[in-house]
Amino acid sequence: MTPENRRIIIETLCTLLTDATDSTIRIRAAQSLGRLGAEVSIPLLCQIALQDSDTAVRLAVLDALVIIAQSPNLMPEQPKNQPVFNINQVGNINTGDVTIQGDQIGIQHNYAPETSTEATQQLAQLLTKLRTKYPTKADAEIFDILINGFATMPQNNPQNWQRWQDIFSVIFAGGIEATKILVPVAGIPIEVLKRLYEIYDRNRKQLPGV
Amino acid sequence: MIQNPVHQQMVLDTLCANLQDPIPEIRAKAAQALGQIGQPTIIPQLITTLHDPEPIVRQNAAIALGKLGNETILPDLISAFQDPIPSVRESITTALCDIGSESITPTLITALQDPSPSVRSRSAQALGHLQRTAAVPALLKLLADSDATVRQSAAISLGNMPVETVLSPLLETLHQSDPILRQTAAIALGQLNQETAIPALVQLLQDPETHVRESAIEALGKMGNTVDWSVA
Repeated sequence: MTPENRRIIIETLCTLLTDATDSTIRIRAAQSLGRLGAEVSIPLLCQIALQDSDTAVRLAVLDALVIIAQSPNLMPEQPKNQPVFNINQVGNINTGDVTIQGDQIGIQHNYAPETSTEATQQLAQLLTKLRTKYPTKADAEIFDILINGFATMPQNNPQNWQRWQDIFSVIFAGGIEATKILVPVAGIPIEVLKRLYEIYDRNRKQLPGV
Repeated sequence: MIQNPVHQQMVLDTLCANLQDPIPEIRAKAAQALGQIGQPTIIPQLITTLHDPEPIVRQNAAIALGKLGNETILPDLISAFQDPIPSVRESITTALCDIGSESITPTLITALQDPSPSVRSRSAQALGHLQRTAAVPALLKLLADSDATVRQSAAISLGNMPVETVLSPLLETLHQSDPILRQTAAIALGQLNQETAIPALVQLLQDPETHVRESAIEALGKMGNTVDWSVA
């Protein structure tokens, strides 16, 4: 099977798993995702495993997760092939008159985080720094500063962006839907995470060879 | 195998979250899944699950612990052996066997006297599988158990033990007045597969009880299967 056909199948099955009103169809979709060893569908499967209204669907999804975890890696999947998690376009963000300076969003370590916990901790540390720097600003304003800082960082400070990109690659490895499972990620609302994901995704695609 | 560590952690987190689900089937499935793909990091959650109100959940948690655990969890498993449900105790026996530590032998020997035949049977199997010679006297007694499955398990377990520890007592058992003992000893000797037992088994072909003679024939037949024909 070509990677493109595989992607189409997985995308279709994920859509069925989320949208089909007939629980039998959702069960079949989960089973097929398991048989395909579709690791890329794990964030969605995890979500369904916790939230579906039908117990039988949840049981099928748990089985699918086990099968995927036990399946050999015949078809390595790249995060860029995320099939179902379309990020909505966001409008212009009101960032006010404050910008994040490079040293404020610098991080303590130069190594790439290996776990989501480690990555989110680094994001949380940055938030703490911003709140310390701007003690009179409300959280909504802090988040605007955060978003604006990251939006301009790839151009203003590419070296720093490289490090943050490593962090975001861990946090968003399963797409934005995956972070819903992890919410609260560093105490950041999902809408803010979506905006950060958009920045990350847009700039990631501009990298050579990606 | 999940390549992305974030996905890996996500699956484990989801399964652990499902251990708290209000629906017993979900909790049971989550415990089972953790046994299949879990990691030692989730052992504490599984130990807590040993106290779940539903037996099937406790059962699956015990089996999962056997697959993931080590000697450090033995106190929790042994403590859980007080569970009132036989199927849970049986699963704990399986878990103890999977861990296989030497220190579990007394617990398994005690379990040979469990009121439930399934637990006695499983414990006998475990002791034979682990070749715990300290259990030979207790297993010999079990050859006369009231339950046929237990007797069968004891015989097979004795057949798995080192020859020098069981051959002599099994041959002596062939002379017991209880026909069930003679029969199960014959089964064990067949399992043991020692040619030195052939005369005694041939003599048993004269036993007044038909089922004893049948078991002797079967035991002799098993030995016949192991003759080395490679020189022919």
